[in-house]
Amino acid sequence: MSTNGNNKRDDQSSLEKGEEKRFRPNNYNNRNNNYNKNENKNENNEKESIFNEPEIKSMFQSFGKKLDEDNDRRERIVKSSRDITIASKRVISLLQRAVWEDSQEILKQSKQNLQPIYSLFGNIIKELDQQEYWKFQRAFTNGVQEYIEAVSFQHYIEFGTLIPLDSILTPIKESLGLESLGQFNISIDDYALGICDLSGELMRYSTGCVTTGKYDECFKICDFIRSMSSGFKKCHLNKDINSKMNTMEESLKKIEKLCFSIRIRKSEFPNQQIKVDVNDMIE
Amino acid sequence: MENLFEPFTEELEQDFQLRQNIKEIMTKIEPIDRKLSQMVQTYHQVNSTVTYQQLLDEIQPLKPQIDQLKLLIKPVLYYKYRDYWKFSITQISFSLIFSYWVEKKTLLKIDQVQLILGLDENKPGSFSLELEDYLIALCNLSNELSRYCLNCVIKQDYETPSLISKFISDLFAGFRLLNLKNDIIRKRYDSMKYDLKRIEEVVYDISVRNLIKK
Repeated sequence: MSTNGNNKRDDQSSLEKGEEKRFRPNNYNNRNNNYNKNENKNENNEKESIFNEPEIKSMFQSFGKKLDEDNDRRERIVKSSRDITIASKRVISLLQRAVWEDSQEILKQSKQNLQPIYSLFGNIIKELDQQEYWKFQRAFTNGVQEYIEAVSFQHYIEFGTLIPLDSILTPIKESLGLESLGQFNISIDDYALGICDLSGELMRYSTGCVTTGKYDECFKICDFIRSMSSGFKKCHLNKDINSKMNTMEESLKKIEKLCFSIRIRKSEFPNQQIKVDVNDMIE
Repeated sequence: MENLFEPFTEELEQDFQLRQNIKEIMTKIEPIDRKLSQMVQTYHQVNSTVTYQQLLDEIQPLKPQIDQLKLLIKPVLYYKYRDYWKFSITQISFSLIFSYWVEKKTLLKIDQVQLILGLDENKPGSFSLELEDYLIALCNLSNELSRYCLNCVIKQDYETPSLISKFISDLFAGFRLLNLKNDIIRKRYDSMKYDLKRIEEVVYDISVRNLIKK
């Protein structure tokens, strides 16, 4: 009996190996080769037949498949989102240079640098096809916020105004040649969080303005952030936005202090270039 | 700038209102969840008379509340607000699954639970019992059954512990098939082996004393 059983097992495993070999070429470069590993594991279980109730096994197999699908999808979205964050951060640090260098040239370059981000959004849009937006929202919210920060900063440098939500979405649509973004959208929360972060960037930018003697620009930024912050004040904010609002108010106070110093020193020597130690004023 | 904030103000206000409404509905769902949990506790008593049917009767008021939620929330937003009802729905599902097992000695499947609770099949835009919640409910089940196992012996019921042992080892083997991430299910699953150990010890204790009828 026992030898028989052993033989059977050997036969089975050799059959499996054969199958595996046949499978290999097809799946060798497949991104989802997790699934194959899974199947092997399941086959081993079948041999040992540890399940008293085969129904439970098949139930969990289908659960496993579903969990893997969701997790893989989430992982891919997180990856795109992280890439968006990195690219956006680079655009932001490029834009910070606009005050020192030729701003038109910098804007041109930043617009170019935004291009690869659009195709990353394309990946996310593809992944969300036939899926639930909010189920995966947490996986890409950080990337979206960072992107909003970058484009709103660019928009401010170019036009001196706050970017409307539509102007954030349209370039994505246009560059991908899509009629609609499918399930994808930018939620009002992400928009709010993104433009809250903008205030921090503008604060840094304004210190650059002082050093380069563009005082008017500082006052403009100060007004801009002030009206943004009072706009938020009217809204019924949720927890996330509220905590970022505090950061925004900190930035506002710093810029106000900066503008105050400019006024004071300018009044002493109206016609002279003043020297302001930026670090001194910011903290 | 002013008018940029207008749609914004409106949407955030709506969001706030919606959250208030959901919270209100939850205050009606939570007592049901507590009631069921309490009924599950009575199963452990020596002369318990709770039946699965009683649990089903208790959840009758749940359906209108869930219908209310469905009316209130746009399907696209179910996932956004899911955290509000996740815990209660998991807890209610667990109570039903436990009671069903004790009575019928088989597992109440996810689609059966969905049907009972008046939830829809899991697909985009449907108000459904999430797989994650069902799995957590199963972890709760394993934990509760490990306790029930002891109490069966106290009741001099020597047959059920072996059935529990078989069932939980199946369940544990099932969880092993899943590639779990480092999340809550993973943590709960990790503690499942202690449940299994406890159950096996009970089965051992009664079998060495020849209390299981052959």
